[in-house]
Order: sequence, then C-alpha cells, then structure tokens
Amino acid sequence: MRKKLIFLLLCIVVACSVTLGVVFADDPAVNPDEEGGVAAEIYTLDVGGAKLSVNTQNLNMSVTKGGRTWYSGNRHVSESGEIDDGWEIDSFNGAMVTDGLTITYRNANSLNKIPRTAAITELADEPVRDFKKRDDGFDAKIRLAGNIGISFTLQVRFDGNVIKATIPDSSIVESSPDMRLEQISLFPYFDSSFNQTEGQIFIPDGSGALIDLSIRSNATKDYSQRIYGDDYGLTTPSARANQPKRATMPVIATMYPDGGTVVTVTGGAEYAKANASVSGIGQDPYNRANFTFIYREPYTRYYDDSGDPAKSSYELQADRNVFDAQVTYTLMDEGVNIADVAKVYRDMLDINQKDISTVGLRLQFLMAENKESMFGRQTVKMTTPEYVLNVAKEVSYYCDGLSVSLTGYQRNGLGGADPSVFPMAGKSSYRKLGEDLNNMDVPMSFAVDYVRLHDMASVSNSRLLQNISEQFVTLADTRAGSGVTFRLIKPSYTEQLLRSDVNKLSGFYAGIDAANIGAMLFSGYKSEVFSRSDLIADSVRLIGDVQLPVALSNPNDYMFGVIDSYIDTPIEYSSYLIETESVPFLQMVLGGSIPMYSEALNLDYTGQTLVLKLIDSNVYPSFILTDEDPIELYGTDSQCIFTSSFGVWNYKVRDTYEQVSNVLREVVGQQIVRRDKVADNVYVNTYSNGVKTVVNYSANPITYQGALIEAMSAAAVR
Amino acid sequence: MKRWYIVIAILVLATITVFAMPSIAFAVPYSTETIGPEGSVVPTQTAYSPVGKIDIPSVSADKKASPEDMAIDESAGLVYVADSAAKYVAVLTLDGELRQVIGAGTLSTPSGVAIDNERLFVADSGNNKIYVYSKDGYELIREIGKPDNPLVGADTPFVPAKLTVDSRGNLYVVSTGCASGLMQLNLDGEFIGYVGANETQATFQSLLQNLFFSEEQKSTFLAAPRSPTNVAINDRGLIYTVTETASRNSVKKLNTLGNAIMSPAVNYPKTVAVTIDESENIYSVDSDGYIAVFDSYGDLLFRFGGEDIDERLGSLDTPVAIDVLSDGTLIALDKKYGMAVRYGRTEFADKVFEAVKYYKDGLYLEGERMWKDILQLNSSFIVSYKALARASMKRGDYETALQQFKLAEDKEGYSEAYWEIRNDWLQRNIAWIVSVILVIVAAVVVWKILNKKKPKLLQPVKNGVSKVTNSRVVRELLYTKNYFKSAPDAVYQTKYHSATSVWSAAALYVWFVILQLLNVLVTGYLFNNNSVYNSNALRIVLTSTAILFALVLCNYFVSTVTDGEGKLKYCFITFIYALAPYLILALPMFVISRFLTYNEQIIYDLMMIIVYGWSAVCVFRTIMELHDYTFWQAIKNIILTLFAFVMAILFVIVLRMLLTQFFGYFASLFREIFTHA
Repeated sequence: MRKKLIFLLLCIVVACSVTLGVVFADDPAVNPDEEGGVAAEIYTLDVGGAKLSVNTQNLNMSVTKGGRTWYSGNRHVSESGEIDDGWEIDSFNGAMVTDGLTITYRNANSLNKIPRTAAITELADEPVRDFKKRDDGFDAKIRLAGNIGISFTLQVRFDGNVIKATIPDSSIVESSPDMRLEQISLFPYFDSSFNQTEGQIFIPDGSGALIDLSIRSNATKDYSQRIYGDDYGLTTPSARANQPKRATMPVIATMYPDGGTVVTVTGGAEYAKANASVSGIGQDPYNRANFTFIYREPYTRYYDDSGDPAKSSYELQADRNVFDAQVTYTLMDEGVNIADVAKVYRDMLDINQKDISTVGLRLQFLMAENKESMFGRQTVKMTTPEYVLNVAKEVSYYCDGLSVSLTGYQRNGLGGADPSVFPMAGKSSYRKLGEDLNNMDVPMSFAVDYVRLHDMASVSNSRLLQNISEQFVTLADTRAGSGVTFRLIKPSYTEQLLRSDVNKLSGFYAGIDAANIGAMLFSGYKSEVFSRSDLIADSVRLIGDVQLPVALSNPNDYMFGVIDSYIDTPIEYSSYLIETESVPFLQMVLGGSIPMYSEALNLDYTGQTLVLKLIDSNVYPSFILTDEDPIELYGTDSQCIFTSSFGVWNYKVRDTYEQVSNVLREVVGQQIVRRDKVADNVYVNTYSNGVKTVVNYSANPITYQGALIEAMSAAAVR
Repeated sequence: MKRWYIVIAILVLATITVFAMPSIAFAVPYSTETIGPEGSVVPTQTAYSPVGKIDIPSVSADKKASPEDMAIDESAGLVYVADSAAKYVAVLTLDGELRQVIGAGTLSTPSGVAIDNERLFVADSGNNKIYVYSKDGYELIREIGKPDNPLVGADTPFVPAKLTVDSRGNLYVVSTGCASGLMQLNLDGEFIGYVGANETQATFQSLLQNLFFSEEQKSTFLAAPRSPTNVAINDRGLIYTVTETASRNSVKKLNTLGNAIMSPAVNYPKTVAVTIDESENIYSVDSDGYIAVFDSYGDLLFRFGGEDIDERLGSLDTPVAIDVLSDGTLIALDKKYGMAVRYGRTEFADKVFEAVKYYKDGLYLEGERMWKDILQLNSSFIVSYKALARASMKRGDYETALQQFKLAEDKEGYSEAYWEIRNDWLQRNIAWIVSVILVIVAAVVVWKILNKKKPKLLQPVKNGVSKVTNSRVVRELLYTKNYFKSAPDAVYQTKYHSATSVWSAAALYVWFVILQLLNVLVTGYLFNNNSVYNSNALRIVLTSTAILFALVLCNYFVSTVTDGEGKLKYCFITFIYALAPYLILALPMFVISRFLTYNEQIIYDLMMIIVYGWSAVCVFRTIMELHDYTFWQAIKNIILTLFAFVMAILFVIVLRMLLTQFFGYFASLFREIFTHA
C-alpha cells in the first residue's frame, strides 16, 4: 500500500514537472525543430506589474494590467466553436478573429490572380516555426505552408505599458516562384469588442472621427483608408468632386469605459492602411480597428496612353515594398479620453515648435487669371498689389495676426502659370508690397505648387511623372465646375523649382505656401525610380532646407517637424455612415505648436456653425479675396471661385475673426488636454493653461460653470 | 393575435435601433451646382447640408428594412414608410421613434403610401390592391382592387405601385405597366379616368416606319408610351408625374384636365420621385442620388448629391422618395441603407427661397435687396440677374436691366429693355435724325443739280473716283455686282474675257472668312447665336477656309466626271463670286441687327433669307453656266458635290482614326512585349 502511494506520488510529481516544464520552460526556443512547428503553449511575461501572455502557436496575445485585460483577438469562442453570445463561427473565421496575424498572398502568375486572405493557422498547420522568448517580449518566425513559401519574423517588445510589434523587412523570404506576399494585418482584433457596447473607436479621417459603438450603424462597408492617400504611381486618381478626406495620421484608438488602446504605425506608415469596423456590418459582430501593411499592390497596366480597359491587364506589383513594419500599441487606463490619445500620438511625433502669440487670420488674394478669348488667351486682372496693401491696412486695425498670401501673380495669371512660377508680373510692385507689409508686421507669402502642373503649362515630358503603366499622371481639379486637369512632375524637378524660387525670393520679405508637397505621396517608375519612402525623405529634407517661412497645405504627419504653419486644415471628417462624430484630433496634436488656418471659408460659408467649428477646432480663419467681381473669373480655370470681392466679404471677415479671436485669444499657444461632450451638441475643450472653451452648437442657451453660453455661440471659461 | 406578437417584437427591436438626430450639420459629401452663364453648370454655396437621419427599423437582427415610399404628416409629426421587406407600413415620429406598424400580416409588397386628413392609402403591388386605413386607430376601412369598368381595359394590368390623393379623396394611381397614364379613382375605388399619359417619342426609325410601312406593318411596331413611375400633388391639387428614363420631360406638371403644362427647364432622366412645397418649388431625386431643386417656373436653383461610392451621410445609394417640410428641410428615403436622410437648408438657400417667393409674386423691387445679397455670395447665380433685371425694368432703369438680362441670358427680357432704350433714344433724337436725313437728301439733290448744270465743278471728284474704280484690283472686286445682277453673264465674262482673276477671288475668300469673324463680333446680341467667349478666331478661320476649299475641290472633281466644262481655276473664282449677295449684304445685316429687337425679328429673318436664297440662286446659275449644264444636270452636280463633301469629311475622320489605331497598336504591342519580356 505504502509503495503504491509512493508510486502514485511520484507519478503526480513527474506529471506536474512535465506540465510545468512545458508551460514555464525558459528555453530560448520552444521546440526549435525546423521541420515541425512550435507546440502550442502559453508563454507569459511579467513586466512592471503587467503580464503579457501569448499563445505560441497562433500568436493570440493578451495583456493584463491594473485589473483590465487587453486581448489581441477573440476571447469569446468556446472549444465547440460557439461564441458566448451564440454567434456560430467556422474554423476559418474563428482563426481570423483569434490569430495574431492575417496574411494576404496571391499567385502572381495564375490567370485569375485572386488573392487569398487567411489567418496564419489556416495557412499552415504549425505556422510558428521558431518562438524565441526574450526578457522584453518574443520573436516568432512564421513560415507558411510549402506551396506558399512565405516566411518572416514577428518581433514583439513589451515594456509594461507599450507593445511594439515589428516585422523587419530583412526577415521576409518568398521562396515560392509564384506566391507573392500582398498584405499583413498585425493583431487585427487587438482590443476589439463584441457586439454593441459602450465605447468609441477613433479613426484618422480628416481632422479625426469617432465611431460610437453604442449606436447601430447603417453602414455596409468598413472604414478602410490608405494612410497618406493613394499612390498615384500605381492607381488612377479619382476625378470625383468632394472626395473623402485623406488619412494624414497613422493612428487609431479604441476607447472603452475601463480603458483602451492607442495604435500607431511607427514604421512603414506609408504602406499602411487603417481599418475599422463595427458590429452589424456584414457578418462580423466585432468592433475593431487595426492596420494592414501593403507589400504589393494590384494595379491596371495599360498598354497605350488611351486608358482603354480593353488594352490593359490586371497585374500585381512585381517588387515588394521595402520597409520595416512596426505598430505600437499603447495601453490606456480607465477613463481614456480622445485628448489622451492625441497626447500619446503627439509624444511620438517630431513637431516644429513655433511661438504662437496671436490669433491668426489668413487672407489669400487671387491676383490674376487667364481666360480663353476669341483671339487667344488673355489675362484677367483681379487684384493689384496696391489693393492688397490697402486691405491689409484696413484689416490690421482689428487684427494683429494677419498674414497675406498671393496666388495668380504670374505673368499669365493663375491658369497660365508656368512651372517656373517666378518671374511674376510687376516684380517691383510685389517687392514693395512685401516691404510695406513687413513694416506692418504682416507676413506675406506666395502660393506655389511644385507637385501638380497645370495642363496648359509647357514643360518637357522628361520632367513629368509617369506611372507604372508609363502613362503621364493626370489629375482633375475636383472642385465642381473647374474642369481643369493637372499633371504630376518628378521630385527632382520639384526640388529644382523650389530651390530656384527660394533664391529668387530674397528681398521680397515673403514666405512660401506650398500645395501638395508632403501631402501627395506617390512612387515613380520611369527614368526616375523612387518609392513612397524615398519621397517622404526627400520632402522632409527639401522643406527642412528652405530658410523661408513655409506653410504646407494639409500635409501628412511626417512634415510636422519642418513646417511653420499648416494651411487648409480640415475641420471636418468625411461623414462616412460608419462615423458618428467629428473630433478635432489633428488640432489636439498640433494645437499650441503650429498655427493652423482653415480652407478659404467664403466658398462654403455655412454661417454660424462654421464659426463655431473653427473655435471648437482651434483653427484660424482664411478667406480668398479679389478686388474685382468674381463674375470676371467666369470662363477661367478659377471659375469655381464664385464669391471673393473684399467689398462683399469685408464685414464677414471681420465678424468671423472677432468671434474666433474673442474665444481663442484665451488659449493662444496652448494645447487641448481634454475634450468632453457636456450635453447634446455642447462640447468643452480644456486647454493646458486651464481655460475651457465651451462651444454650444445647440438651439438653446446653456450654463456651464456659472457662465451663460447663448445658443449657437462659444465662450472661454476660466 | 399573432399579428400583435409581430408588432410587439418590432417595437422592441425598434427601441434598440432608433437614436436621436444631432442638429449639427454633418460634413457635406457633395458639391452644390446651379445654372451659370451660357447654360453651364457652375458651383455654388452649399444649399442643403445633411443634418441627420431617420432609421427605418430593421425587420430582424439580420434583415434590414427595405423602404419603398413615404408620406409625412407634419402636423402630427409622423412619417409613414412603406416597407416591402417587413410587409407593413411603419409609423415613425420625425425623430425616428417607431410608434406603430400598419398592415402586418395583410400587406404583401407595400410600395406606395399617401395620406389625406383622415386616411392612409397604401398601394400594394404584391396583392394588386390599394388598402385604405383610418388615421385614428389605423383600422382597415377599405380594399380597392382593379376597377370594374370597361374603360379601364380588360388587358390593362392593375399593379398599384405609387399613389397620391387630392383634397376630395380622389386617388391618382401609378399602375405598373399601364401606358394610359395615371388611374384616377374615387374614394370608393370607382374608375374616373386616365390622366397624364405620356406620348410616344418620335425617333428617326419611327419616322421612317411611318413613312414607308403599311398600316398592318405599323401595327406590329406600335410602341406604347412609357408609363409614369411616380406621382405627387401640390397644395392646389395639381398633379406632377415622374417618368423615369424619359429622355425629355421626366417630370410633368398637369393641369386640372390632366394635360402637361410645365416641365423643369433641365431634364434629369433618372428622376425617381418628386415633391412640391407650398410655394410650388419642385424637388426631385434621381437614381444617381442627385437632388434637384427647381422654382415654380422650372428654373434650376440647386442640384446636389451624386453617386454614393464611399457611404457618406448625405449621399444616396437607392433613393426612392423625397418630401419637404414646412421649414424647408428635405427628407430623402434611401432603400439600400433603410434610412431617410434629413437635409437642412443653409442661410444661402433660405435667402434664395425668400427671394424666389418675391419674384413669383411679382414683387421685383421688394426682392431686389435679397437677390443682390445672393449675387454677393455667388456672382454666377444666373437666376438672380433675371430677377434683378425685372426689378430694374420696373424702376425704369433700362440700361441696367439690359446688362442684367444679358447676364441672365434672357433674350426676351433683353429685347424688351432694348426696345425701351431705343424708343427713348429715338424720342430724344428725332429732330437730329430728321435733320440728318434732310441733309443727305439735300446733298443728293444738290449733287444732281450740279451734275446737270455745272458738271465741270464735280469733274475732279469724278476723276478721283474713276481712278480708283479703274484700278484692276478694285475693278475686279467690284465685278461682284455683276454676279449680283446676272450670274451667267458674269461667269461668261470671267471664263472668256478674264473679268476677274485668281487674286481677286482670293481676296474675296479672305473677305468671306473675315465675315465669319464679324458675324460673331458685330451681330447684335439678340440675333447672335455665337458667344464671343466660346468662339476661337483661329478655329473659325480654319474651319471656314477648309469648308470653302473642300466644296470647290469636290465640285471640280464631280464636274470632271459629269461632263462639266469648268476648270479648277474658274471653279475657284466663280464659286466665291457667286456668293456676291452674301459678301455684299452680310455686313450691313450684321450691323442692322444691332438696332433691332425681337419685335422686328421678322424683318431681319426675311432679309437673311433673301441674302442666303439669292446667294444660292447665284451659285446654282454659276454652276450651270460654268459647266454648261442643263437645269437637272446642275441639280445633280450639286447633290453629288454635297455627297462628295460629306464623303471627304468622313474620309478624313476615318483616316485619322486608322492612323491613331495604327500607331496605338504598335505602341501598345511594344509596351506589352517589354513588360512581359
């Protein structure tokens, strides 16, 4: 009996040792058998009071910190394949919502070339071939089944609060002659939630947008936008008017009452796509937000310049995009606010810190245009430098933050603008204008576009950008009624023009307002071969070298370190059905650091709501003006400017500025540290100096901390 | 009993799905357009922005609503939505809260809904019936099937798809496939008659069929007119029909007799629904998602929306109905998303509607300030100029009115203003005009007397004139008057006595081309169909030169194969000389047109007919004489010349296409080889 007991105890001890040995094995590699995969286990890591657990077979991950657990994927599926809430799921979709990685690949040589997207455990029985534990995370080598032949390494680092997931480009191997890697989604269901729930998802649409998870969506499509916009070296630009806003910031976030996650792309953002979906869209009952990295893009190759689909073929980009993909997950505690998300993101950015001391007002003047007449093109003079000076003097009486921007100053007006934008008509009068404005402390700038070239402008074809189909890239002016087309020019010519003009501008007391640099991101394939990553580096270097004040129009976040002001700032989202609320996220990131000016307001002046949005967003107003009646612009390329006479807009300019200035002067140079919705259509932004701006969009007056805020008005509350 | 379970289940579901609408305007996912100068579409300030949505409750967790039509009872704050997926009519508040469902278990495919003060009418295209419910309690009062009336037609289908009701309870029903128009029924379902039938649209093919086919053959080709696809009614009881895919007049306003009396100036063939506000402004929505707003005269005020690609609030994917509230808010029902989008009017649109109301009431002066405000917000808003011109006319400021009518491109109005200005000028200068005429008459009389009594006195002048007219160039150019008088004699002189030369003909060709330019530049606004802005001098010169030379060459080549005697040189010379009436009289006519109004249009038109007719006769007689043709030979020659001319144009077009294809083929071949090599 005693022997039997001892034997039994020994068996138990052995069994426990084996079990514990598997679970807590501290070997650098678990089953490093190259022929076989890693046996499933849960690897856990304690860092600074937080515990990271990862399934070594499917890379499903969870982090527990401060009583909350962040799951990288599905946590509801039972062993029988049924979700707690009764949602039936098959193994394919079960893997999609469980695995840490989803891969898209395709056979580049097959006729149909249909891509396949699946989770890693669906693509290989044991996809993780080598799992190396580290003190600060793990490295997992993923190898997909033999016929796919794609392998790469996922590196995950955890410091107790931040998870960084990286796929080094050097680790990617495509051993199959046919199969090509197209996309990888990293932790696609990280911090997702099931069905309708309390909370919000932030997406980087325009100024920023929120998706309220408690509201049923009418949408039938997920949010899916390429960070920094489409690559016109591969895709044909859309000619539609009022296109959706571009995603200029590679950041998304989930915010629940008990915590959330800020997800930022810290490597390879130029090849990332932001995705968000909510319960009720399609069959997926999850609310989720994630990034997908694009390694190859399909495109239509045209065999002549006609753009005829009959003379085209559907191709997959031959060379893989080269970049180290990295996503950073910052774990947020209970009560996370959109301003907290903005702070996390802001801390990761390089931002050119400017000294903002006044509330700004930007007046852009259209000097001249170009019109087709019976006997050739003629210049239509809209504004003279003397008139600009007079307006500046008048406005300066009530505005100490005025800046003046000039467009259409070229000899043939805006529509006939030559790529070498200077010399200009009446050079000396512009020089004098610059001097006079400088004496009044009013900065002047010339609006330039070194990326898009007017179709009428003469330039050698060798300077024009050609896409992967060797076609010149043409863009339509998407403003309604415009009908103007542009061509893109090569970055080398962009640089040549900018450097030349900067030299010519000495003595003008002027800066540059540049459109499209740092905003339009494309790759080049003919004679000048460059990638999106190369163009980012070039743009940052180019603008960084300019010794004049530079304002960029709606630039991407990689330019924030080199710009002096931000123009054409979006104050809205695209209003996708999936979105429920616009949020001034961009302004929370840049506010207090870089002055931001709106798009020209007079072309869509929707009244008091517009003024309130400027205040709510901490964005300064901007107008486009002329001396002459804009009916003169009919028949020109600027006929979409249908109201611009300063004589007409004088009052509105003043009224708008005074309303904005009355509130925002209290928070000049300050950052938004918190944003709250205190009632329906009433928002409060708290700034770093403690001042709160209360914006009441509603039709009723409200009282906030003892201050009465009338309907459709705003106030600063100390 | 079972029905109550359904109702309760739906109400419970609705409490989950409904949410309140925010009042902040959402971002506008579209551009707004209006009609600008020269009929162009120009952008304008946003007129409507999306301000929220009304969710139509889902049928079940995984089955969305499929709304087909709606009717709004604004006084009760209710929206009635016919839902073909749920097979009932949902009664919602304007805030989107579900109050009731009607017809669950009875209705099959509710596709149209209408209301009057006491009743709710539902067109059910599945049951082929109209159901009438009371509005208090929603009890079923009556079912209306196909009317038992021989005038309806035994073979005429009764598939009620849409309907509306007038203040007397008469129903106007769109029955799918019924080409006779709308069925008018009384409250008891008795057939009253057909109204608003569309006409068969004549095509070139149908014209040929009518011309050449026998009656029996024609009967097999008889195309039925399109049946109306939707209907609406205004406060005065006038019916508006919608015919989707109609190439013209998709929307028609009918008078009390059922005849079409007005259609919007711009036709949008994909229009699916229409509604009318109390000021009789017309709002239409088309299947591409565009909403168009017309004033009561049918002038386009705004158009916005467009294809829904990105699923943005304000874009419509499958619009099926539209309605307008008394505060101007538009509500458009979208079938795909199972929701109704609310569009709020902007300050700009408010101004436009207020000004339009003044204009409609004839209060031009009262509305003048508003129209000026609108122009400040959009200087291309053409409708404003029209209204301002009327105000200026009323004030007696015809000069300003003239400019404004011109900007509004209202030629009738321009003519009225110009008549007033001319009348005023004539009254003020009548003494001067009479004096000048008297002076001219006196000068002629004096000249004649002197010529008779003292001819030597005028001899130096005569010598000077004679010296000029006897120079070869002038003499040859003045020879045009001989073609003017008698073309055959003049051709004879040209052929056999060298009365004219190639050089003088070339000068006349140049003059002809100059006349084309002068036609654009000099002809009065009322009679000028060309715009200086859209005309290109080089294009005019090249086109007119090419046409002239092509005609001369074609005529020469045709005449060489039809026994014509004319040489190329004489073809070249005589052709342009034959146009003498045009060459001489055109410019005076262009100048005269500047002083005429539409009241004198008949004079101008008659004069131009004479000029062209006379030129044609001269050309005909010249060809006869030049090639020594008989009358019928000349006719044949002209027809063949014109045919050759058309062939030459076609040849050039085909050649251009072939060359493009040729080079394009090799370019794409090489590119493909290099790509895949």
